[in-house]
Amino acid sequence: MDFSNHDELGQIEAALRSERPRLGGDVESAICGRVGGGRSGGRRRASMAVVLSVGTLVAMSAFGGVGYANFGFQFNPFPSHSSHSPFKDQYGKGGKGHKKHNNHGNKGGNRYGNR
Amino acid sequence: MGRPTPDPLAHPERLTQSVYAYVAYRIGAGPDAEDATSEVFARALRYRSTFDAAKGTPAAWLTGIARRVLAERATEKFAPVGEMPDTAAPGELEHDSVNRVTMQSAVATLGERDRELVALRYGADLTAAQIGDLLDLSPNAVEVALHRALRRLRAALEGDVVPEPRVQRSAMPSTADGV
Repeated sequence: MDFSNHDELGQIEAALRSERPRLGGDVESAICGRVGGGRSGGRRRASMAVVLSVGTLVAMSAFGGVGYANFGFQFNPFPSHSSHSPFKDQYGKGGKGHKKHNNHGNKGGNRYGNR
Repeated sequence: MGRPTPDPLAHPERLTQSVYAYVAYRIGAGPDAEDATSEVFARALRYRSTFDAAKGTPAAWLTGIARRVLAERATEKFAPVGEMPDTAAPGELEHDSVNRVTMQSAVATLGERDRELVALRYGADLTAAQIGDLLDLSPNAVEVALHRALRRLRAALEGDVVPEPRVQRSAMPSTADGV
């Protein structure tokens, strides 16, 4: 190389750029493939998350969905006629506020003798 | 909500050549440079999410990783560069290849600091401002240092040996880029 011209530093700069070392095609494609593989791996994870979410929603809607399940729990459209509860089994009809309930031992009236 | 961070490895083809050219100007072309380049991209994949576009371009980010990789390798196994291995191009040596080897050989005779500057500017294709960010120098200081390095390179190409002023290792710019 002859760099004896006036603009020889410019020529050296140009030569450094044009003759810079180049990576072999096989190594370059191997690195690019790995970089691209890393990127597609991220996409694969994201698409897997989407597929699982959609699958869950489809399964839930097949059974009526969350709203339907909640509605069925609160407002049973087919109430059972033989509704038993531990309280009714032990104390019969009436609940806590039943008028005939008396736990003071005197028949009628209250503890002060009033009827 | 902030702007989505761009993928620094979205266009790896151009970046692999830049990183390899930088590494090859630093340590000489060949299998070692290929290994180092591969390692740079392995780390880049690992730290891809830490890339901050506000701090620089993907090329500058990768060059920072490459500097770190070379610094670590230098302490591990690399012999001091100066003797460049004879790397013949596949097939017959054409004029272009001879020139390339000659230029690389001339670069290899430069001191470490000059070689770093030449590799950053003409291998990684960074601007003076980007080089200044990496080496903690002003762009003007980078330009001046590059001019001197080119003069020494010209002397090496013409067969004259112009020794670079000895630079203490501790005085060299830090290669710790945090990656």
